[in-house]
Amino acid sequence: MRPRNQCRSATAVSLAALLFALGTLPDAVAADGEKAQAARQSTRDPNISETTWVDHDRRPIRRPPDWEPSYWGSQLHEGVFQPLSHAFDIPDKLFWGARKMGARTRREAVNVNAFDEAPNSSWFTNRNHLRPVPVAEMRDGPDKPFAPAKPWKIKHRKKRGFSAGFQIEDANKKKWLVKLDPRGYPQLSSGADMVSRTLMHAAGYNVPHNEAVRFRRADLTIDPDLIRGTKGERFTEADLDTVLAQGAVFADGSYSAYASLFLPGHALGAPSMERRRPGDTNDWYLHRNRRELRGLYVLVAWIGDWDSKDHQWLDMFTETRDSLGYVKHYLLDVGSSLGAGAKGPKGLRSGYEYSFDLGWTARRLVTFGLVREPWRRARQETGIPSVGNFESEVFKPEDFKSRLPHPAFRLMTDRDGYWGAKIVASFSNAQIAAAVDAAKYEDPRAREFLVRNLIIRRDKIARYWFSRMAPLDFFWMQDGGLRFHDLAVEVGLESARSYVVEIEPTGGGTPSKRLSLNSPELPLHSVGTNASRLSLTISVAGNKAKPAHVELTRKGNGWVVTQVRHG
Amino acid sequence: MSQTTSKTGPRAPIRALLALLVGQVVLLFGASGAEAQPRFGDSTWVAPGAVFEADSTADGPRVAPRDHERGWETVVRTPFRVVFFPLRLVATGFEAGVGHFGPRFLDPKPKHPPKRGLSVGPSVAMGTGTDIRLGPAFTYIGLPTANTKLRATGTWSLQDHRHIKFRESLLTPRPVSVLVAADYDFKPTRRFYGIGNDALKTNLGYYLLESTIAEAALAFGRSPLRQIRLVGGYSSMSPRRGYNRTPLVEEIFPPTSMPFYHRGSDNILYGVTADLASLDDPLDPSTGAHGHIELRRAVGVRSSDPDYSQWLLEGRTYVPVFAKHRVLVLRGVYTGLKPRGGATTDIPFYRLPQSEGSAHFAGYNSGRFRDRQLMLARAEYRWPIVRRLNALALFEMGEVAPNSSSFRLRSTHNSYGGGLRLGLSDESAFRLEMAQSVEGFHLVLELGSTF
Repeated sequence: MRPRNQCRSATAVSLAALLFALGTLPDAVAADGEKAQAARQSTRDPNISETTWVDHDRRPIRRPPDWEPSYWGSQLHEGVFQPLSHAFDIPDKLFWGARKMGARTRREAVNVNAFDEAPNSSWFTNRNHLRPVPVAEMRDGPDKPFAPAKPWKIKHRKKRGFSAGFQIEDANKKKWLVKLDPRGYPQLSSGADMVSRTLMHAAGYNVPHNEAVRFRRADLTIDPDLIRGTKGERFTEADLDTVLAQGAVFADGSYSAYASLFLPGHALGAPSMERRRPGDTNDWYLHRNRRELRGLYVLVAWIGDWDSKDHQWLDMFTETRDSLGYVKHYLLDVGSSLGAGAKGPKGLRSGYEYSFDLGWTARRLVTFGLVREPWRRARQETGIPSVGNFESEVFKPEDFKSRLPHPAFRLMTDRDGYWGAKIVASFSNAQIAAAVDAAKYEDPRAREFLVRNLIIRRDKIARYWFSRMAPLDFFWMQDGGLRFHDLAVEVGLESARSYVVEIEPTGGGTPSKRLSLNSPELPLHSVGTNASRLSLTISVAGNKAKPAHVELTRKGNGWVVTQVRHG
Repeated sequence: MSQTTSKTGPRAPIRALLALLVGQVVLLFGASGAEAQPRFGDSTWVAPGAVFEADSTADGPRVAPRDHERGWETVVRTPFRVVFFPLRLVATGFEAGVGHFGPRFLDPKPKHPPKRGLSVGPSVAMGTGTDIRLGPAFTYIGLPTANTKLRATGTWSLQDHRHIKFRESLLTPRPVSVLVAADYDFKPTRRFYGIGNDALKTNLGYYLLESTIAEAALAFGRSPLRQIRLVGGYSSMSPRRGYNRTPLVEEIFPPTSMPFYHRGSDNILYGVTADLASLDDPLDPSTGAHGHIELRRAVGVRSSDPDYSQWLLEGRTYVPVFAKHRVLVLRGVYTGLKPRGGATTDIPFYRLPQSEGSAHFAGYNSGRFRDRQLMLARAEYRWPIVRRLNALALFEMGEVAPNSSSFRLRSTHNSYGGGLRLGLSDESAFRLEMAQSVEGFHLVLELGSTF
């Protein structure tokens, strides 16, 4: 009886608190609470600027202690406990109810500037969607291509993960991690990694310098100090043969792999995708509330990165001066994407279901297995060894699932999704082809298949998110008028269309107005207002997509765009 | 800084200069790179230069204040956090434990050929109810030859159930191999409900059975699923007064209703056993058939010991139901024994086929029915719910009889229910069955089921 009473009283207190909160917060909520609060705070705090394009999170700090979430502990947390606790999260259900009554209880991403963009930071640099990456640079990725010089000395065994490999020191004394492609599938993981990391880099994420490599047994030597296990026994040629036996071999007998250059700085460990890094005083925002981590969902859905998790990232401490430096966050190991898995083609479920998927488990159970899951409908088996299992026909951008639920993905809002879709949609066919070329596929079918399917998936993503949020963006003033881009029209998903603008002036006693536009231009002289500020709600005529909200502030005789919000 | 930007064109530099004068950093970028294809229009909107050029290590503003949970959300969540704190603590403990021990046990290890020599580990075996046995397991690879594996386990439960198991396989997986198996079992809580299909549930009594079975087989065929075995061995069984559970059989049944009551028997066994299977996936079959035959002749060591023939015929068929992953499994078991002359035609009650182990009746207690012959028919519908974990719905009919002509369809003991099945290897599976019969609801957990 006691727990039930406790539960009842807790529910009562919470309901009362919720009603109180909803009663006292409507203004803040309607104006998007946290942003209004941030704006207020920014007027007080000179270190905060909503309009900045650079989030200065690389201020010199002392090196934080090495820390990362435990690999298996976080698997249990994200895979089992978190979904269960989420299923029984009563406040979440209350917030859901409140949302139905019109309150905005969903929390938007925190590190978003006034123009609804994620400013540059130690996590992310705005690239392709703001300034197209030239195709030639696209192919290069983060650096000009250079492969590890042979011979390679094996310094360590690869300790983590399911793929076989080792750490090497090349002839130029550079350290690399070499990962073998799974036996029987040359270029499967290495190809997927090269394509995906090239796209992710152009999208804006920090990635390591990776190279698709081929080598022979004779190119390898073993460091005499290399130890096999914990008991001090030497790593022998036979041990190396055991490792190599797990790898893929080309027709000429050389091994297929990719090499990842060690990142500069000191490795602190993987960050949590949920919370801040302990000891990093620059790390202000809970990671689950970061725009670039929430919006990453759309990008991983595009490339089919089914293993997205904490340990796919690595934080490096980069020293700048006097033992001070900053933490930079790298997205590593995107090889479990496209059609690749660690031991061969990816599992057919991967990308469509979590490892432990409560929803699908329940549906299968109650329907006696008669429900037909999308991954069964999808024809994923390409028959191309270097591609594995990949498709675009059944793919639904909103239904993609990584192996484990991801805290930031779970909190993603339409605004975050739209931001991610905008990045995906910014890739041209030529850029996609260039990214695929980075893998140097030997099989011409692989290139053709991946380019075609990445384009189809890109367009599906754009179509989905641009139908949820009016893709009206990149607002600027010209000749006294407001101009903007309709991204759906510009990427060819829609033909020219008209727009509806609702104008809400502040000050000057001018009444509200509603205008129809036949092109993405709003002549402001027609508004004829003395107002000091204009709040515009722009939607696509006859379209249910959530509108874009733009705020214009008078500056001298003209106007400047001071805020953009989608949805 | 605002997002006011300008169009490339003749007046663009003037506009940029004006923008700078009002404190707005605007730099102009065309479609950078000859090969670049701007997807978003003709680059009339140009990103502010700060996006590409600012030095983020320099001092400058942050985009938002430090992030923390909203006050009103904390108010709503706090009572629930307090109430569920113990659960959270448990979950955190589990996570910490898995985080600590996970790398040792769950991390992928490099595959090396099995190491020669002795290794010791734990062994867990589950019986009925609280009969959970624990003990050590010894494995010796390479004794006496490289291709051999010896495994011995000794387990004990709180009911004083003692079990010692010994297995040695020689020359596997060659076309001809030798298997040696020996089991010693001492269980003071064996169940006896009487003999016959109409035995009453209320007549449950307990007795002790001490048994030793040793058997060697010469196996032809590499795979255990396609193999013929010539077997020979020895069996000794001795019933005694049970303990740790009441009532005892002596308190319920007169000695005349229990052939060989308190009298042991020893037999020499020989015969042939075989498996013939054609399955698409032995771990989790969806199409195919599997036949299993055991034919043995038991010869009494002493003249007072019974001579009999013993058989077990089992057939399974797997039929996909409109899709490979939905499977209808039909299983039939027919087992029995027949006296073969000798001094006595009585068969010891403890050697009769009974509804336990692989012939267990789903909705009934283990060992509920016994007689000279036993038949079991089951239809099971399986479908996967999580990867290789299958849910199942079952219907089963079982019956025992003194001879084959005594089986009657109307006398069958029927069960229906459901459960879970997880294939562990080609020859064993984990099963959890929940079945209903006229005698109520029964739950059975089986680790190492052959079905």
